[in-house]
Amino acid sequence: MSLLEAKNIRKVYKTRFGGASVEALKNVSFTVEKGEYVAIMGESGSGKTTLLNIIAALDKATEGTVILDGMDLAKVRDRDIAGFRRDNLGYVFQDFNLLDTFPLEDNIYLPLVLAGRKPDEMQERLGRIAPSLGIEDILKKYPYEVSGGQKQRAAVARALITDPRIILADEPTGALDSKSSDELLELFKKVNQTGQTILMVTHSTKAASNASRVLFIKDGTIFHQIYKGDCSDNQMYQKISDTLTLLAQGGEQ
Amino acid sequence: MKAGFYPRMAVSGMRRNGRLYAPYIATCILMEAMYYILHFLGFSGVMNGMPGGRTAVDMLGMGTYVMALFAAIFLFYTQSTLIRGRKKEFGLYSILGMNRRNIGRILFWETCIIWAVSTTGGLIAGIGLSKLAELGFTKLIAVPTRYSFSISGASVVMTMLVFAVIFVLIYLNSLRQIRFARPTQLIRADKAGEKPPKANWAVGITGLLFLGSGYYIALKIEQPMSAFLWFFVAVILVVIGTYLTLIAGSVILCRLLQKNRKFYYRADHFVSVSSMAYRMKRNGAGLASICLLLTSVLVMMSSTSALYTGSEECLNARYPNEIGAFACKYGYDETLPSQAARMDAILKAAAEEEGADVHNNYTYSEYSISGYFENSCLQVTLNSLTDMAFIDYDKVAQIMFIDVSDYNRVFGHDAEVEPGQALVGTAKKSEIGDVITVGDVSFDVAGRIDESVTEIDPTAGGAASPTIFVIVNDVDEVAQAFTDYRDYNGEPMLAWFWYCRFDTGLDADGQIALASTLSKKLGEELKGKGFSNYYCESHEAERDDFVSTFGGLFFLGILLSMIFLVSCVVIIYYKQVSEGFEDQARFEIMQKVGMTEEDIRKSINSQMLTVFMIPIAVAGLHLLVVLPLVNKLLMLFALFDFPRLLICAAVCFLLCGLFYGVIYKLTSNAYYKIVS
Ligand SMILES: Nc1ncnc2c1ncn2[C@@H]1O[C@H](COP(=O)(O)OP(=O)(O)OP(=O)(O)O)[C@@H](O)[C@H]1O
Ligand SMILES: [Mg+2]
Repeated sequence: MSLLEAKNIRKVYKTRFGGASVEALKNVSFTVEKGEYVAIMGESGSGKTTLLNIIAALDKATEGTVILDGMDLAKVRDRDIAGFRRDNLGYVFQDFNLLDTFPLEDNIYLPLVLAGRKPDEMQERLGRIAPSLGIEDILKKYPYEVSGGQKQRAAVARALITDPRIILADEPTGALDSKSSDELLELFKKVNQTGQTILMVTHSTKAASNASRVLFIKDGTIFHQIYKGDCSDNQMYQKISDTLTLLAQGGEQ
Repeated sequence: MKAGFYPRMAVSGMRRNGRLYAPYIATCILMEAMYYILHFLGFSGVMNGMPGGRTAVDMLGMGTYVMALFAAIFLFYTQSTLIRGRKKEFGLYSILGMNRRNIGRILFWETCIIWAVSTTGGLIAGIGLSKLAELGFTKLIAVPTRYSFSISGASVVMTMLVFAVIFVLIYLNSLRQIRFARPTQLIRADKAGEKPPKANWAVGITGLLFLGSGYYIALKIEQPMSAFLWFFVAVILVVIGTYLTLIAGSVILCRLLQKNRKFYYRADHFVSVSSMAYRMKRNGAGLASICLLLTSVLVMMSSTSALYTGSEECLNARYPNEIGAFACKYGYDETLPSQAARMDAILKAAAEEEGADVHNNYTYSEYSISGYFENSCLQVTLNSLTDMAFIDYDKVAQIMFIDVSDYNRVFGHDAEVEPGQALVGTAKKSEIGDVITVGDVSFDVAGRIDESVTEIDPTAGGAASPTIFVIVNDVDEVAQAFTDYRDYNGEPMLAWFWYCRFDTGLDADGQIALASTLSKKLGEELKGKGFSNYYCESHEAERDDFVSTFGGLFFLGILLSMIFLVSCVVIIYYKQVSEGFEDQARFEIMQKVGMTEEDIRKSINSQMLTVFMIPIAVAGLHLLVVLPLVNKLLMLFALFDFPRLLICAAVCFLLCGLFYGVIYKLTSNAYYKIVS
């Protein structure tokens, strides 16, 4: 059984005054296996964030089901949803979403504190992941005192610390310069190699070329997907660029 | 630019910020209405011709100054928070090509419009409510009520003028705030990264020291006179102490809580403690202001309500008989005993001539001298009072020498006192040794008298310093030993007092008329004989004065308390709204990270509850500590009823707490609405 299964997802946004509604996702189905590193690409407005939000239970699909590790998201009760997210999902946001009132350390602890874990256990878990993320020296600093790359690494730590079933990342490199982006992608790769499943939305071909599989969304449906297989990053990069060109020309598969 | 551009910009700006401006304008309206009412009752003359209302009316007159001053400070403060919140908007204007003069003109119109709206609203409300206030006032001071309605032109003009001045100041201040900022600064004013405050032990400890010394004074003072002098010192110390302690102390507390990992890393404490720590520096001042406003309301209301409800008791304690007469002469004079006998006879004869049935007659005379009260055995040094500037009021005592024959006559005893011996009476029984020394003269204490100090002399309780009664064998002989002592004015320190009081069986008007007749007779008798003071007073005439004074104080206390409480509401409201906007984004993030709605609600509740409990709890503590001091002050008004004060304080605290709880509920709803 797949770790994540999305079936026939449709999402319609109703505008507030009952005007024209937008169909952000038409009919999206795909699966993610355990340990996979999947990238989702597509033009702006094609519905990537919408899809990710639905998988993260931040938003509800109009139709269709999302099944994570055998659990149907639609069946999780509303008031349990935040707890479900906390225990099973790690979300990395484009704009970090760190709290300015906490030092990085406490920001990372937040999901564990909410889950009622003991301070010693939290410290032990952080001690395990901090070295590989390179944030040991800045844990006591406040978000505004560190660079964007460091903030994003702290955010990754916050996503990882709960040992989530899947990491969801929405354009995690979107707000970073190229050097920080490269570091972060390297990090994702490392994390993935430890067996962590990752689902990442990105605009960057380079970022996507790290993934083991790339899904392309166009006009609210999965338009195409390519596997990395045994390709090198460069070959993958080339494949993706070709597909994107095809997409831009509006061509058929 | 087109005419009317600036006024329109001003209006639309205020409308956009309606959530902030509406309460501000409402506060302005309320303050103007209150000012009008105070001025109307205090100065317009509608209360002229009311018997006995004079003191109360004068008090309201004083109240207008307090009101104007408070309105100036408070509106000034509120408006600068408003401008701070709008800096971004002004930054945008200046990037769109407006210079500071243009923005200044928008602010000018804004101020004018607010002044016009609030003055119109305030005067309408004030005039509308003035009759109601007048009814309440006349009821409280127990004078007859007029049935006509009137508007005072002078009060209208004064209200407009006073608030025009306040708004000019406010306008100048907002110009100043705009002037010193660059556009980029204006835009980024609220975005700049801010490190949570460090625990500042130095400030915290200084604050505690101030608070502690204020408390110490409040608890230490024993004498009403020094209470009066030190009250203001204590108030200033407590005010400074409260600010420093709440600003620094709360940060320290949060920091300590954060250090306690077991406590801090719990879902219900984690977010609230850290966001409190983050905010405390800014909010400490707001909390301290709320706390001090609550404290002043509590102190004002408990003291004035105790006085008002206890006014009859004060009156009876101070004037136990219907008629009382008094005369005073400095120095020793051997003719005084016969003078006293003559005055007694004159008063009695005159009273009976007016149809009075003279009974319960107390007449006696005494020699008095003041000095320092040293050691636990009674020893009074007399040359300490020669320099006014260095008087320590806590040590001053007044010695009253009474002849044993007078004492026996008045109280129906047959005590005997040998020469060189004395019977002693003081308010504090413990402080009597075997020997009492006054100046160079010592007496063996042969015993103590059973009567309380106020039984002998009803005015002694309200006197500035404690009174010690010394019953001696021959008062004339004793007095001659003290003729040489002089005070800082060169006057003899020895003084002779004569008292005469009795009941008459006349009705109120009769008593009042009799008192003035007797005053005249007393004057005729004593004129040119070197008496420094003499009068005759009646219980009934004093009642008007008591009720008027206490009722006026109570009324003023109520009005000022209302204003203070409203100001509290405004501060709390702004606090909630501004924090709501700040927290909106934070709670969104937390929800994404996995905080449930319920977690959020809980965390908000625990945070708000703590922040709200602090001011009222500290105010309650302040009240508790100053109550003994307030009690001493009330003694100056002849109210010796600590239990009554305690009950009044408890009732005020409950009412205040209830009101505060309601504000809390309402404003936290405003907060929830913004956050979710
Ligand atoms: N809350 C919303 N209400 C209405 N329409 C929405 C809402 N959120 C997104 N949309 C619409 O749904 C479509 C998909 O938006 P989405 O944010 O998923 O795109 P995206 O692929 O993430 O784009 P980008 O790459 O720019 O982030 C867009 O047309 C957008 O306008
Ligand atoms: Mg997006």
